[in-house]
Amino acid sequence: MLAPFNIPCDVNNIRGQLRHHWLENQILNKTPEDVLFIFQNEKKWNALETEFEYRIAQAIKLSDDMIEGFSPRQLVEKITLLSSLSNDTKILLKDKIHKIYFENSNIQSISTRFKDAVKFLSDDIKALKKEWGETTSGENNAIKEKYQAVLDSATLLYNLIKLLPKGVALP
Amino acid sequence: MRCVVIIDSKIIDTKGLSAYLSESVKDISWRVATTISEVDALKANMLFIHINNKGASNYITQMCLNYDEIYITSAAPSINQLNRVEGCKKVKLFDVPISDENGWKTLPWGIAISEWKDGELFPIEILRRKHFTFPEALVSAYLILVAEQAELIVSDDELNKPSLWENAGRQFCEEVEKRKLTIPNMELIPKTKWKHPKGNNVSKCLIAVRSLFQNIEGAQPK
Repeated sequence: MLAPFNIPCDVNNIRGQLRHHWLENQILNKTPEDVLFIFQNEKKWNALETEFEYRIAQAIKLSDDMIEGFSPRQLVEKITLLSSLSNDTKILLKDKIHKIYFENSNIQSISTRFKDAVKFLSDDIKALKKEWGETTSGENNAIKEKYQAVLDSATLLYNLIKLLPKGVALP
Repeated sequence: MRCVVIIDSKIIDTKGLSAYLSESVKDISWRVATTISEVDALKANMLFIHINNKGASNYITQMCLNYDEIYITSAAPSINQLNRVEGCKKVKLFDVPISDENGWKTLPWGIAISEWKDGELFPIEILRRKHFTFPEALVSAYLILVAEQAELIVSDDELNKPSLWENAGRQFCEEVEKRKLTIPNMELIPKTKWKHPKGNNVSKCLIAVRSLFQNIEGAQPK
C-alpha cells in the first residue's frame, strides 16, 4: 500500500504503539531465558500482568478498524481544498477512491489474518499467565515453553503489522 | 536538577529525529544533542538524546555521572539492557502514554513530548500539524485523477478548480526538485498553470504522480 507523507490517522498511532512499544520492545526483545530470569528473580512481570490485556484489546480494535482507518476517503472531508465540492460529488469521490483502495490494497485479507494472529497471541499470553501463577520454581521449562509460544505468535502478528501503511493509504 | 530524556530513533518510523526536535523545540529552552560531548556542551536541564540500542549502555553510564535523573521512553534502549548497567539507579521509565487520559499529548508515533516544570513532566503542544503537513493539493489532485480514471462521473465544473490544479502542479514540481528525481511524464505537470488534465493525459499524469509517491514511500525507513 502506498502511503507517502505519513498522512496522520488514528489507526496509524495504534499501529505504531503495538508494533514498537508492545511487540518489539516488550515481547520480541526477550528470549525465553530472559523471561525465566524475570520469573525467578523478580517474580512479577508488570507488563504481562497489567498491560498485555489492554494491548490485545487494542489489537482487536485495530483489526476491526483498519480497513476504514487507513482509507483515503477520510481525506475528502479533511482537506480544505475539497470542502467546496458539492455533497453529491464528495460522496461519489469518497466511494470511488475507497473502492479502488479496497480492491488494490489487500487490506481485507490483512485484517482477517491480523484478527487470527491476535487470537493466537492472546491465547498464548493467557497460557503463560496461567503458568506464571501456578508453576513452582522447579518447573522452569514450562515458563520457557509458554514464552516460546508467545514469541512465535507475536512474530506472526509482527509480520502482519509490518504490512500496514504508515499513514493514510493512497490507491 | 538536571534531567535527560532519551528517545530511541527507531520508534518514530522516520529519519531525522534530531532535525525534527531541533526545529520543534528551538524556540523554547530545549536543545538536542546526538553525542555525549554535545550533551555536556549544552549544559541544559533537560535533553532529548537521539540514541540507538547499541550505544545505550555507554551513554547511560556516562550520563549517570552528569545528571540527577535520566528518563527513558519504554521503547528506548531496552529496559532489560538498562537494568544490567551498573550505577543506573537514576534511570526511570518515562512511559509512552497511550491516551490523553493522563493529560499527555500523544504524538503520531505514540510518544508524548513533555516539558519539565515544577518537578513534574507536563505536555507541551508540539506543532504536530506543522511537522506532518503534506501537499494537500497534490494529494487531492491525485485522488481526483484516480477516481476519474475509474470513471467517476462528475461534471467538469465541479472538479476543474484552477486553484487546486495550479497548487498541485507547484507542489508536484517542488517535491520532484527537492528529491532530484526524474519522473515519467513530468513535463505534463508544470510548476505554474497546470490544468485539470483530460483524456489520455489523465493516466499519464497519474503515472507521474504515482511515481513520485512511490519514490517518497521508498525513501521512508521501514
